[in-house]
Formats: sequence, C-alpha cells, structure tokens
Amino acid sequence: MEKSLKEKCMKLLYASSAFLGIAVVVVITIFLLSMGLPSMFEIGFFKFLFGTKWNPVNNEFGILPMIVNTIIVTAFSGLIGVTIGRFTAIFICYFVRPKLKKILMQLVQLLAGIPSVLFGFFGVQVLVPLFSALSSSGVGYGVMTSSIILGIMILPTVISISVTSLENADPLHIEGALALGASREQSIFKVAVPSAKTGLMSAAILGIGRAVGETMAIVMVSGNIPDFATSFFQGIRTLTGNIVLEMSYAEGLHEGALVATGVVLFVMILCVTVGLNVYKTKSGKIKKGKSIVIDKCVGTGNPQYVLSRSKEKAMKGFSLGCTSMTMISLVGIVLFILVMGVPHLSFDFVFGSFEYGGAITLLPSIVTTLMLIGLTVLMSVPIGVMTAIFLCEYTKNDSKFVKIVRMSIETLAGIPSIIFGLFGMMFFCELIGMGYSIMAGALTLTLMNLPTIIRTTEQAILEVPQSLREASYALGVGKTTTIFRIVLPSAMGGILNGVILSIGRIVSESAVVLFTVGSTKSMPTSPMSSGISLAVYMYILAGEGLHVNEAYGAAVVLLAIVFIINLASNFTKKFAQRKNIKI
Amino acid sequence: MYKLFNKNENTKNREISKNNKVDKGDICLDLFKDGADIKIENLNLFYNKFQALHNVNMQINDKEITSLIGPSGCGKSTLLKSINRMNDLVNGCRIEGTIEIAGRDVYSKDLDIGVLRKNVGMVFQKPNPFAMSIYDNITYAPRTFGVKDKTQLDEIVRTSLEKAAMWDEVKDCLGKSAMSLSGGQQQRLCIARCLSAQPKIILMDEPTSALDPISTGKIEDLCLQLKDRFSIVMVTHNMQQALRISDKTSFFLMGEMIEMGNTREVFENPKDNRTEDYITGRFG
Ligand SMILES: Nc1ncnc2c1ncn2[C@@H]1O[C@H](COP(=O)(O)OP(=O)(O)OP(=O)(O)O)[C@@H](O)[C@H]1O
Ligand SMILES: [Mg+2]
Repeated sequence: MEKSLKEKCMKLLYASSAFLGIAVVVVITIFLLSMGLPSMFEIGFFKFLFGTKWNPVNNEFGILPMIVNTIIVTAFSGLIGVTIGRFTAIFICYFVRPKLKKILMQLVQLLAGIPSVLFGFFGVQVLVPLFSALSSSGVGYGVMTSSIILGIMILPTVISISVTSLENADPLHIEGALALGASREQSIFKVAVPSAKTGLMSAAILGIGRAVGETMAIVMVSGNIPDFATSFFQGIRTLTGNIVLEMSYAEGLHEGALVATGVVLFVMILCVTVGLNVYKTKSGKIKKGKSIVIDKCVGTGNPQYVLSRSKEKAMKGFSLGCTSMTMISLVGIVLFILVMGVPHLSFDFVFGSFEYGGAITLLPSIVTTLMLIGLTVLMSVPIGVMTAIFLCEYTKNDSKFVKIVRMSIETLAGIPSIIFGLFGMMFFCELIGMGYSIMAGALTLTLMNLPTIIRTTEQAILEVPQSLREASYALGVGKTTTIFRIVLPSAMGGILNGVILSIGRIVSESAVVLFTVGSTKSMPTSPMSSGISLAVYMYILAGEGLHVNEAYGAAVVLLAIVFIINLASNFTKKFAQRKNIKI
Repeated sequence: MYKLFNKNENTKNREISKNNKVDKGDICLDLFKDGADIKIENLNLFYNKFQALHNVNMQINDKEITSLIGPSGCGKSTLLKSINRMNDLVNGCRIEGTIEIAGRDVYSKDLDIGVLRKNVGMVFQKPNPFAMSIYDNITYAPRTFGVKDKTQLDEIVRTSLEKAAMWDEVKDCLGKSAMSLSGGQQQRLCIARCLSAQPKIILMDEPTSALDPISTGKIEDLCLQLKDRFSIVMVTHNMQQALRISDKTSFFLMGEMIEMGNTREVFENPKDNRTEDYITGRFG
C-alpha cells in the first residue's frame, strides 16, 4: 500500500506541474490587465486606442499610430515572408533532390536560430544606408527596411511548417494526377499545393504572429518616431518598439500606458492564435473528399486545373527565385557578419577580464549568458518534462483539464517575448523584489521556454513504443519506475533536442533579458546580480554607435554559439532517430 | 507489500542458498505457494459497450500447458490479459465475474496489482526487449522488487537464462545490447526476463508468430521444459503447435468459450461442430 501512495504522490506532482502552465497564463493575463487597464481608463479608452499623439511629457498617450504602423509592417513583411517562404517550401519539396533538400532544410534551421538582434544589426548596417541613398527622403529607416528584415526573419517559420504540411499531404494525389496525364508542374501546383492548404495557411498565420511580436530587430531599423507612416522611407514606431524604448525610465501613468500597449499587443496576438485555431478546426471538417474530386478533374482538361506551358515555367522559375532569395539572404547575412566581425576578434576582446573603464570584453556577458542558460534549464526542464509525462502517461485526451492545459501551453507559446519581458520586469523584479537579476531573467525565460520543452518531450514520449510499457507493467513494475527506467531513457534523445532548442532561444533572446537582467557590464558574482547577456551586449554596442567594430565581433561570437547549438541539435536528433529505429 | 523484501529476507535467502543452488537468487513475494490453478467463472468483459467475452467458465490446471485457439478477434488475447489484469490499462474496459488463482480473487481490492503481475508473467507476440543490455533486461524486475545484492542478481540472470535455454549462447556477452540479438533470441530473452520475476504462471500471446521455424521449435521445447515448474497459458494460431505441446486446449468463438478438454480429445474428437469446422480449416 505504501507503493500506491508513492504513485499517487508522483501523479499529484505531475499534475501540479501541468497546472503551473495554466497558472502562468492566468497570472500573466491578470497581471497585465490589472496593471494596464486602470491606466487605459485613466487616459480614456478611446483617447488611448484612437489618439494620434504619443507625447508622454504632455501626458498625451495615443497609440493609434503605433497600431497602424504595426499592422502596415506586419502586412508587408507577411507579404514578403509568406510568399517567398511558401514558394521556397514548394521548391524544396518538389524540385530538388533529397540530398539537396536536406542541406537546404539545415540552412533554414540555422536561419531560425539566428538572434533577432543580428538581423536588426544587419538592417542597420546594410539596408538603412542603402535605402537612405536610394530614397528621395534620404531616410533609410522605416516601413521598407522593417518589412524586409521582418520578412526574412519569419521565413524559417513559414518554410519549415509549409514543408511539413506539404510532406504530409497525400503523395497519392500527385501520383493520381500524373497517372491521369497531368504534367509534373500541373500536378504540383494544382493538386498537391491545394491539398496542403490548411497547413500552408497555418504556416502563414504563425509567421505573421511572429512578425507582430518581434521587438529588438524592429527597434533597430524602424527609426522609432511615434507617427503615422506616410511613406516607405520615414522613421516609424511599432507597438513593441514603444514598450522597449521607454519602459526603462517610464513612471506612473507613462508606465501604465506602456503596459497597456502590451495589453493591446497581447490581444492582437491572441486574435491571431484564436483565428488560427478556428481556421484549423473549420478546415479540418470540410477537408476530406474534396481533393479526390480535384484529382479526377486534372486529367480532363477542365480549364480550372490546367496550367499553360508558359505559366508552368513561370511558376517553377518563381519558386527557384524565391529559394535563391531565401538562401542568399541567409548566407549573405552570415557571411557579412563573419567578414566584418572576424578581423576584430582577439583573445582579449572575447576572454579578457573586465575592468571598469577598461577595454571592452565579452567575458562577463558570456558568463551571464551561461548562467542564464544553466538556471533556466535547471528550472524549465523538470517542470516541462513532468508536464509532458502528465499529458502523455496519465490522462485521457478528452478530459477537460487536459484540454485547458493544452490550450494554455499553446497560448504561452504564442506570447511574444516582449510581453514576457514586461511581465518578468514587473512581477519578478519589482513585485517580488528581485530587482534586475540573472535569477529574475532565468525565471522569466523558464516561463517562455516551457512550451518548447513540453512539446518536444511529449513528442518524444509518444514515440516510445507502447509495447515497452506493456512489457514493464507485465513484470509487475509500477508506473513511476516504468516511466523513469523505460519511457524517459527511450525518449532521452528527443528531450535533449528540446533542451538544446530552448538553449538556442535563451542565447538569442534579448527583449526579456534587457528587461529583467539589466545591462550591467561587470562580471556577475551570483544569480542575484544584474548582468548583460551576449545578445543584449551586442544590441547595446550596435546602438551606441561608438563601438560598431566590437558589435561585429560580438555578433560573430553569437553566431558561433548558434552554429554550435545547431550542430548539437542535429547530433541529438540523429541519436534519437537511431535509437527509435532500433526499437 | 513490497516490504516483504527487506534485508533480513534477502540474507535469509542467501543462507539457504548455500546448500541449494536453484534457490540462490530467490525473490519471494509468492502469492500462490501451493498450486496455481486458475478458475474463471462467469466472466463477461466489455470494451465500453462492446462485449468481448461472454460468460466464460474455465479451469486451468497448474503445471500444464493450456492453449487457447480460435479465429482472429474472438477474445483470446482479451482473456489472457484479464488474468494478469493488463486490461486495467485499457480505457473503458469493464469486467464482471471472477478469476481466482489458487483460490485468491485476482480482482480483489487488497491484492497488489504489481505483486499479481510478478506472479503471473506475460510474453508478447512481438519480442519487446528493453533498449538495455541483456543483463539489465533480466535484472530490471528483480531490482525494482528490491534485490540489490550483486551476487544475487548474477544468480537470477544465470538461472533465468538457463531456464530460457539461452545461457550458453549469451553468457559471454551479457553486456551486449538486447537490440542486437536476433528475433528468436529476443523472444527467448523476453521469456527469460519474464522468468526473472519468478512467476508461477506464464501467459504467452502467440509467442512464436513473429519467428522462423527454428526459433519456434526452440521456444516450443522451452515450453515443454518449463511445464514442470510453471503453468503456461498460450494463445496460438498454429493448430500443430497446440497439438504438439499443450495438455489442454480450449476453443473460442466470438467471445465465447465453445469447448475445452484434453488436447488430443479436442482435436480428434471435438464435441462441438464449430470446433470441428475450425480445426479442419473450414473457417478462420
Ligand atoms: N482495447 C480495445 N478496445 C476495444 N475493443 C477491443 C480492444 N481490444 C480488443 N478489442 C476487441 O475485442 C475483440 C477481441 O479482441 P482480442 O484481441 O482479444 O482478439 P484475439 O482473439 O486475440 O484476436 P487475434 O487472434 O487477432 O489476436 C475484438 O473484436 C477486438 O476488436
Ligand atoms: Mg490476440
């Protein structure tokens, strides 16, 4: 009987970690609302949302320009990112050999790991001067640069999800169409792509969600003038930019107004996520049956399904063009940073010891970053893994609690980092009184990384064959032992990969770290000391204008870390696959 | 209940074992000290609304091989899984009636399900060794039952593998991954793993259907050897196999037990037409 008590305790433990996911979403929401809404009403609901002037000195807090700018930039970057991304995905899926496909997908994955501050930096250093020379206004900041940079940034999201959905689309469709005499291009563009419509649409929506929430890159290239965009080449400010730029010194109503800006952003993102879910459930219902009809029509010469020769060529050419653009922008950014940064690297620059007023050294920021990684992993992995165990091993999928847990995790995954930053700053730093500290940063990053860990772990656990669990139970071994001795070891590769992915996110993250850890450049002495992460340091070096060379150097170090993480991730993936095939 | 294996118990075992080799690695926790007859009475089993077993009554004797035959989907595996309560893992599975082993109700509240399964081992259709070494596969169960002593574990590994007739094959590579064994070897390892828990009854669900004839022969021989010490209940689709090794045979159809008796009798002189039809290959 002692045994069953232990099992009950373990279940309670797992359930409470799962509950934590819900609690976090609820607390973040309530906290944001309770801090933001009062100010919103003090300012006046309409005056805040539809006011056209943002001038905190005169107590004018109208965010309409920021809302409009956010929508404009999101629309244009979405147009760029989704179009290029989708056609790149089509090209990668259907027009290249499997080996090349693998390489291209690895490049895409690499692109996904590049920190947003690097994109911003590239924008400032290359696109801004370029456009200021080209445009009539002589300004390089603004909608154009922001949209391009954001468009490139959402490419990996769009491409990887699109590729998955194209792969999952029934290959029989293409074969069926081919068998009916359709050409290859025709089968692809008129049969295969339409049949993957839902997945492609989800890819687009997720990409757009990312664009709405992106902060640091946009702050660097938008110009930050709180006014309506009237041309492509004119400084603008977005909702996220508004929060980052002023939060550090805002007080009273001003601070409240910024939190309220966060609330508006939160609501916008929520709309995107909810829209996505509604779309998914709706199209899931009508999907079956339709594509078979399409198959039949392709061969019959029905004009709706026929592509003229020239159009076929144009579509294929366009896909090739998009793929080249994706790859050129990736390789271009990486090479540019390497070429500009490597000459400025030196041992003293990277590992020199820190002295006040001395030469710039990255060592404190590297140590801070490592501490952030260590603490975050230490906290997020146990909670995330236990939640995943709860979801996979202890619940029936249709229970209400599980549904709410899943919904919370999904919501959590959609919240942009700036909101986490805002929350972390007000909750951990101010309310709990941790102040700017590595611990506060790690706690916030833990919340942010939970969905990644939970999802990858869940995936890995689901891949463990049921027969192994049965074998263990049939020996009379209890659930807890079975999970720890059989299930988790088999799922280790997948879990490790999730951990590595979230380490990548921690390294790249700058908004959260800036808000919760601060920007103290000295060596951290304890988890409670303030510090500066590598990404934030790079951001600050790039922004100060005095240390552009050092910024390049820091960017190279950042890139190197991202490369290493990428390699490690590939390695663990292979490791996980090998293990699963054997079983 | 697991307290039964506290240290005293283990040391006692070792003292006894000095004289007697077989007992050296004993785990204890025996539920069924004297005999392990299985008595199934009025068993009805439901998967949600679907009734998979209809009023099954049967008596399975200790130290005999009983085979369950019948067409696919007739409930053989279901019956097997209700003996060691693996059906508890299935959502929506509900049971009426009683199953008693040596007079103890299997579904009674104060019977620990782990102890039950330790005493009623199971071998599955597809070999399912753990992704660990051969040694660890076999010590997995004893270790969780609290055996920590290295010599005792070694002893369990040796006797289990010996009983599964593969000690000589693998004694020099116990550290090798179980995944690197052949299918037949893996299945015998699974039998050895099952024996490591020192069960009284072994349930086998088509243990040879995924194997080649030679491996099948080895496992059949093994069953005949094990019969002296264990009762074996085996599901099989292979009539010849049932005829070759089993003492009793019982025929199932659509969730009902149609007929049960001495194997020879059932095959040579079936009482029910449906049994005859099945055995002579007219359906299933
Ligand atoms: N988990 C389950 N949920 C619902 N129905 C089930 C479940 N498992 C088995 N059944 C149903 O119960 C019936 C008996 O299944 P069972 O697996 O016991 O058949 P079987 O005799 O072992 O067949 P086979 O020879 O193919 O292994 C079948 O009709 C099957 O569809
Ligand atoms: Mg079966």
